[in-house]
Amino acid sequence: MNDKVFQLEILTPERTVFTGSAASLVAPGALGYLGILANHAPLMTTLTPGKIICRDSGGQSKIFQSTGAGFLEVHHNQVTLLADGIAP
Amino acid sequence: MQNLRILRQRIRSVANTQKITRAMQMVAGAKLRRAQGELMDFKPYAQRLRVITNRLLEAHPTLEHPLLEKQLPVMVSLSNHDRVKNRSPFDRLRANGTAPAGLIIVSSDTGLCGTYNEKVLSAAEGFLRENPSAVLVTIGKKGTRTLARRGVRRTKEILDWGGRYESSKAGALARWMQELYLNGTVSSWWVAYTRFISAMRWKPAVERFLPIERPPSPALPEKIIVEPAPAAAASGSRTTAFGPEPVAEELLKRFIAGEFRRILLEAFTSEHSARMIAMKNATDNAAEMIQNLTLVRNKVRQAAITKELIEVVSGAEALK
Repeated sequence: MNDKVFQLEILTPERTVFTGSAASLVAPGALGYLGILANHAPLMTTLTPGKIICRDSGGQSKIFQSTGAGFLEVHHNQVTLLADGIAP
Repeated sequence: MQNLRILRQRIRSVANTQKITRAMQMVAGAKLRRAQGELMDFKPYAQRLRVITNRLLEAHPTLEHPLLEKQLPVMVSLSNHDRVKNRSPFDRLRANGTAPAGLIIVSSDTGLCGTYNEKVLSAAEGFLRENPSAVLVTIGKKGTRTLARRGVRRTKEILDWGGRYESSKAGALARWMQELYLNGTVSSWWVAYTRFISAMRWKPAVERFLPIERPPSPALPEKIIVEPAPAAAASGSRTTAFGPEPVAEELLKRFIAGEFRRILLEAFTSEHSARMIAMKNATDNAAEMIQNLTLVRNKVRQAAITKELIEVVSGAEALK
């Protein structure tokens, strides 16, 4: 696997849940799940509770369970996911 | 010559006081670490939230929202010089209409924290002089009592937070404030609180909380896709252009909640820091006092011994 990666940060008010590079991200958008790959166009969207799946360039997936509303921003391969709460 | 017994008593009593202040210093230190940890864990979130909010506002300079500062008409904008000379930072809200401004004062519930409360109150007083009709909300018993003694009217008092941030209580207060702002009871909200700079430094400040300030609009706004678009577009009508309003609404609300959390966390962290420093000074002063008193006690004791010796010797001389 030699995917292009982007910088991903998953933050809640209480803690930094994830920070590092990722090859893909699937998040529960307000209009349904959406996938983000590297070089995605600038985007802002609200999130609903649901599963957040991020995969690194080695193909390893991490799954987080978002318990509240959230917000996602994609800005030049810098993806920021702000969530109200993420189950440990 | 001072009485030896009384000196010993004083040393003991100062030592007892020192024990108490040292214990209070430890407690404040533990609370400071906790509060500071909470603040530091929140910092990255708050910082990204601010960046994202500014980015959205920069991308949509014409966006209007009740929570957002109204756009200044370009025609009447003053030159920078006039602005510096003629405008106080609180001026804009007077021009904004007849509703009074609102002010929240974040003080502490318990005392023994040095100048913490005085400083934040004097910052608030500067604001109240310019806005005598301001709607006042106080957090913390100390600030509330001081204002009550001076006969200042308070609209709401919060006396049971005890320097501890709780998101449910803070959220309820923030919602109440938004309601008052949106129904026009107040023209704006300001917060007098203490900014936390480091464990040894903090600074009182009065900042505007609502409406949200607009960043200066850039020459070339970036295009950002926002989802979901307004309801009309989502329901299939193709005539409605995609607008940022629904997303902006969510983001601005999130921003306000975040800012309020930051303000409270900073104030509470500063409070614990101020108390720890005050108690450390008290402990140090007590140590110094004990040292001085011990020196005096030794001198007095030595003088007494010398005096007795002289009496014995001169008595023996007299018998010769």
